[in-house]
Order: sequence, then C-alpha cells, then structure tokens
Amino acid sequence: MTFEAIYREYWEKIYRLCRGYVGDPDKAKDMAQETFVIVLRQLPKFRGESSVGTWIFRIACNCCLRELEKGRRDPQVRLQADIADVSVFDHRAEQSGSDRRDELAFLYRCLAELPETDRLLIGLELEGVPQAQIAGILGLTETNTRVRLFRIREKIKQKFNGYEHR
Amino acid sequence: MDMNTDSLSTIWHRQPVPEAVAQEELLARIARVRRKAYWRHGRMVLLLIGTLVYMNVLLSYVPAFMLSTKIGVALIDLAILLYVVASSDLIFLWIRPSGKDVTVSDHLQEMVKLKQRQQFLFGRFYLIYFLLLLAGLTLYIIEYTLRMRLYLAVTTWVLTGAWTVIFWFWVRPRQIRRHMDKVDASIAELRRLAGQLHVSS
Repeated sequence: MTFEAIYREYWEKIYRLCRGYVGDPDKAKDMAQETFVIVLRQLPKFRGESSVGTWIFRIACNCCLRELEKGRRDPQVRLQADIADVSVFDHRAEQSGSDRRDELAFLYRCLAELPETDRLLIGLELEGVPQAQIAGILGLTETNTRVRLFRIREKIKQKFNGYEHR
Repeated sequence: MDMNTDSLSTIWHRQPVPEAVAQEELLARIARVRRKAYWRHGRMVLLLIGTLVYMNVLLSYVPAFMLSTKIGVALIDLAILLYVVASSDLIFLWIRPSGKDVTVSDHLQEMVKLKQRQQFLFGRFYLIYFLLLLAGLTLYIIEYTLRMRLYLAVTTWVLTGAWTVIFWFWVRPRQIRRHMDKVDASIAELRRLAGQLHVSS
C-alpha cells in the first residue's frame, strides 16, 4: 500500500480519533499530522506483522498518549474549555442546526470526562474498528476490551439520557 | 433519543474534518524537525570546538612544561565532551524506542523503562563529568600556580576551591533535580496511562 493511499484512507479517521481525544481542533490536526509523519518515515520498515490499519491506529494512539506524557497540556482541562467555546465548531456543524451541534458538544464533554485510554477505546470503536483489532492495538484481551467498551457506552448513554431530560 | 452505538457513531462522524495537508508539507515538517535537532546539536559541537580551540591557543601562548598540565587539559576536554553528550540527546540514541510495531500497552512499558535508563545514565554521566572537570582543572593550575607569587597562587586555589564548593553544593544539585523532576513527571504520567490499560475489568 502506498503512502498516498494510506493518507487518503486514514486521514479523516485519525483526525477524528485525535479530536475526540484532545478536543482542540488545531491540536488534533497537529497530532494527526504527526501520526502521518511517523507513518511516512516508518513505512519502508513496515513488515506487515499486523494490518496497516492496526499499525496506523497504534501510531496515532501513541501520539495521543505521548502528547499528555510530554506535559504540553492537560487534554481534559482544555477539552472542557473548548466545549464552552462555540467557535470550535465548523461551518458544517453550525449549518446543521443547534441540536446536532449540541449533541456533538455533549459527546465531547462526555469524552472529556473519561480516562485517556477509554477515550481511545471508544474512539476506535466509533471509527468502526473491530473489537479484536482494538484489543490488538491497545494490548488488551478481547474480553477486557468488550467489557470496557460496554461500560464506556453505558456511561455515555446514561449521560446522554440525563442530557435529554434537562 | 435512544442512544445506541449507531446513534453515537452518527454523532461521532459529524465531527468536522479539515483537509489533509499535502504530502510535501509533511516532508517539510520532517525537514524542520531535523534542522532543529541539527541546530541543537550543532550549537553544542560549536561550543565544544570553541573551548578546545581556546585552551589550545592558551597553551601555545603560555607553554606548559609539566605533564600534569597536559593531562589536565585532556581531562577538561573529556569532561566537556561528556557534558555535550549528556546534555544533548546523543547518549539516548542507543536507548531510544525500538521502533517495532508493538501494542500501545507495550509501548508505554517500553517508554517507562527507557526513561528510567535515561535517568540512571544522566546521574552517572553528570558525576563523571564533574569529577573529570575538577581533576582536570586541579592538574591544569598546578604548574601555573607554582610559577605565581604566593598570594596569587593562594588566591587561585581559594577561588578554585570556592568554585568547586558552589558547583558541588549549589549548581549540581539544582541541575540534577531539574532533570530528574522532568523525567520523574514523565515516568509518573506513563505509569498512570499504563495503569489505565491494566485495570482489571
């Protein structure tokens, strides 16, 4: 698979994963770019021990977690701040009506309240990555992945139910 | 709203996604990072070369006859070289991440071990650097102080002693603490993240 094909296929997925993790759109773009810089550099050494998708998502997850480790920011704090800032929404979301915008904002809020690795877990699932592959990306057992995802979904569901009844 | 995975996924996919930058821009970004790294190391190398030139020029103006002076200069050179290596990332080149395609969990564990090794090496390098510098400086000034008048020689030794005390009890602990605090915070963060993955369900 060429870099161009990988870039085309995975850019949106990786950006959304980073955005869900970090909240800030500029930072998410930066992290997604960093992911593809690593992909570009390491592609000649990629031996295909795992699927391309697993490999790229691993790099993206490591980029996300390293962002925190580097101590450049506290994603949770920043994410909360961004939610209050309407300007983080793009034109498409704004045009789609306030309900849709609110839902997305509320999803960001729910994600911000999750531990970092749970944000990655749910982000990967929402990107349609199969649970077995998520387990392989993060280094968890499939059972553990399944149970954790169930709990995360339940948590978000409860929050959304509370949000509906406000 | 019935919030199931599908509806959550629908909201998730409403996230606005900016256009991907051109591949050339990614390449430019790699080049920028490299340039920055070269410049960082380059400054250190220039400092090293500058110090070496200065000491050799000094030796040619004030010729040394005793072997101790020459050994002193060599030890100071070695100390500076060690400092350059320790303060840049050069010593970490051979203990950097393997670059293998490992799981996120393994990657975090690998990073913790790597940071611990960096921490250990930094402490050792710094101690050796200081001892080499002190030994070099002492050997270096023996010959010149022998040629000096007594009061100048005493002043030189007192100043060198004062420098040693200040360096050992004030500069060194501060530099080590600053470095260790940074690495400790890094390790704590990595452990916290690894811990999140290993919480039993």
